[in-house]
Amino acid sequence: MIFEHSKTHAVRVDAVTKKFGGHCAVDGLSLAVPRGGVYGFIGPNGSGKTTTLRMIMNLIFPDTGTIEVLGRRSSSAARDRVSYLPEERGLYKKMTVRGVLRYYGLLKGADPATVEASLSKWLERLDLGAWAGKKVEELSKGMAQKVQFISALVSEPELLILDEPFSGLDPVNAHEMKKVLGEIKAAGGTVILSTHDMAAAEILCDRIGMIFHGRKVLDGTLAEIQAQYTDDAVSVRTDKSLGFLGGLAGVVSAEALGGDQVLRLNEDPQKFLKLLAASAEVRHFEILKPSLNAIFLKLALPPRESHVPA
Amino acid sequence: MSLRKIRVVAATEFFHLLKTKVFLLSLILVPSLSLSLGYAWNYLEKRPDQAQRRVGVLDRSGVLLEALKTESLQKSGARYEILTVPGVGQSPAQTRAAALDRVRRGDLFAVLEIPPHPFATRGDGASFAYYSATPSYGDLPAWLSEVLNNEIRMRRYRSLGLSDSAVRATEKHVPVEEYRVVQRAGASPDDQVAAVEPSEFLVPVGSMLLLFLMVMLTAPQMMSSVIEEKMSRISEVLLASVTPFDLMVGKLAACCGASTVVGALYLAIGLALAKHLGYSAMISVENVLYFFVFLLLAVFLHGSLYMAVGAACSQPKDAQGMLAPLVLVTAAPMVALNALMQDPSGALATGLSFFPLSAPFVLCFRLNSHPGPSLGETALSIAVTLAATLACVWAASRIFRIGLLSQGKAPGPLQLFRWVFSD
Repeated sequence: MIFEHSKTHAVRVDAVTKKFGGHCAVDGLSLAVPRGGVYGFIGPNGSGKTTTLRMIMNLIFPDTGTIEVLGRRSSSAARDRVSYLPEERGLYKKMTVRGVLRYYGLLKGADPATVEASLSKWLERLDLGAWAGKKVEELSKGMAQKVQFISALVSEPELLILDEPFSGLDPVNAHEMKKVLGEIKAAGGTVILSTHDMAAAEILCDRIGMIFHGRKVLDGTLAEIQAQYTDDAVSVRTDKSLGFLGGLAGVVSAEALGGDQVLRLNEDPQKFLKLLAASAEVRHFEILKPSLNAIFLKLALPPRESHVPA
Repeated sequence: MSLRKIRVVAATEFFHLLKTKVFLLSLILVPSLSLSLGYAWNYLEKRPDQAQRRVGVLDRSGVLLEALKTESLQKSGARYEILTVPGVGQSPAQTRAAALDRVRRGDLFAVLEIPPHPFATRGDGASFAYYSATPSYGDLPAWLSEVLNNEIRMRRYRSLGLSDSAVRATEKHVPVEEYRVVQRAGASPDDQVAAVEPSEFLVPVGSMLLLFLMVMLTAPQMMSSVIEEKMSRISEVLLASVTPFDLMVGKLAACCGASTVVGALYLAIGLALAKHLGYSAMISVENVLYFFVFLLLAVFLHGSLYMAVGAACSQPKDAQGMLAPLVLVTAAPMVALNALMQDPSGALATGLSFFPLSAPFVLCFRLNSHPGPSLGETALSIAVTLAATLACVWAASRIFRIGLLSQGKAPGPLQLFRWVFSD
């Protein structure tokens, strides 16, 4: 892949709004996707993710606001340097695997020799080399999904935009694709990954942005987000009973979880640790970080309006 | 606009189109079916009607029945068996009713009633009554009318004292030979005219039908391809790589390529056939070139509209309703074929030559007809069609862009109009 390391952003979305009839799909959204690394783009269904990705790809145009892709104001100018794998994607069933990949690669403006070399490399990498001459209709669903994934890579793009790439994949193929994304990230590539797979997002993404009701509700590294949404819970292991711990100053609630006790606090965990150490033998003390999934649910579950920043 | 991408789309679609079963089937089926039908028509037309039809005659004149019987045996090839209807009861009405019952039973094909005084020349005159359960069969009443009137005429001449030979000499038919005035080729008066052949309309009609066939062979295929891409969710992947306009122009170029290849193939067969039948002089190189100009215009114009319909629809059944008006307008020159043949430079032909959807077909017809359109008229018609084609491709690409990403209910005409002018 061709990776251009620079301090500029791969994508900048600035105050973008898009309405369909009376429905506001994207509402004053601003995002900045840095070059290099994986940017997780999450949000519940219907929150405006696909609309945003389509606007980034210049498939539809924003009503207001601007979008800059790879330093170009019009993403059509950068079209050949960006690959997009939409959530609902298909292949020409009557074409051969090699034929369809060559077609997609050539449409990206790549020269035939580069496309041939690239598609051979990716077919081998994803164990589809023996299927290159077969018609797409002969492939299993998992194989077809891998071919779709390769179709996004075959032009060696600078920016890869994937909308739900793991949807419908079996665990083996999903693992394989995550490995490839990890390799792209390690090689310095830029990926925008829209997914509902929170575990994958936690592992793969350097930064995560969440959109809800067309507005951005989260943006930052996983650590920043977890710090922002920590719920002041600690996991402890001591020589004292659950009842004793529940009675300590600053403890709101206490519950047993395996061999540990999870305490919810209404004061600073560091101060509480000092108090706890003074009254019990502390064998384990851990400030609990909320999972991305928990944060997602916290933001997306009703009452929804309360989570939307004013 | 990226010519490189248009070329990639065109090449892929071209080979894809040539390999589709429907296209291959049409390629072989249409000419073989046309030739078979032509041969069958020719064969059946030349083949004498073998069925014998029994005609019951109520001859109230008492003199014409024999003439019918004689003529039937001598000249009708015994196709018609003339039978006397015997009188039943006292009144002619009763006899007629009995005869008509025989027609109903199938015993007789028809009944002919000859009036008592068929030779009368004053007043309203008499008339023959012909009764049949199959009034669509016109040969028999026509034959009866000819035989009876010949006999009556001869009898009238005889009553005036003219001999049969004198009547035959008097009635000798003088034919009208038709000539077409052509550009002077030499000094001889014979060089200024050409004989009008019965096959005069073979080339104009053939070229127009061939053009129509080429459009119908490729444009609906492109529409199906667009619908398939929408249904298979390929469109969004494509649009991420290529602009809707480039994608559509690439597909249209593929359509033109396939039409040109097939058109050239059919034309070569047609030229060989024309040479074999001695009609090659009726086809000029200039008109062959015009044919390909109109082919490109027609495919681009109709192809863009068919693709816009495909993009607007989410499934093939949605397309049927939207296509109906388009097909009707496209087929208008075929429906008006008789009128075009009657007057290739008349108001209808001229009007249709400036209506973009029909202009390529009508111009193709008129350029091969006599008198053909003037050079100015041809140029103006091409210019109008070209302008309309560009406008259609532009409008269709706007519909194409929005339609490809839209799912669900097919848009109405008003919404399509909004799509064309939306940002």
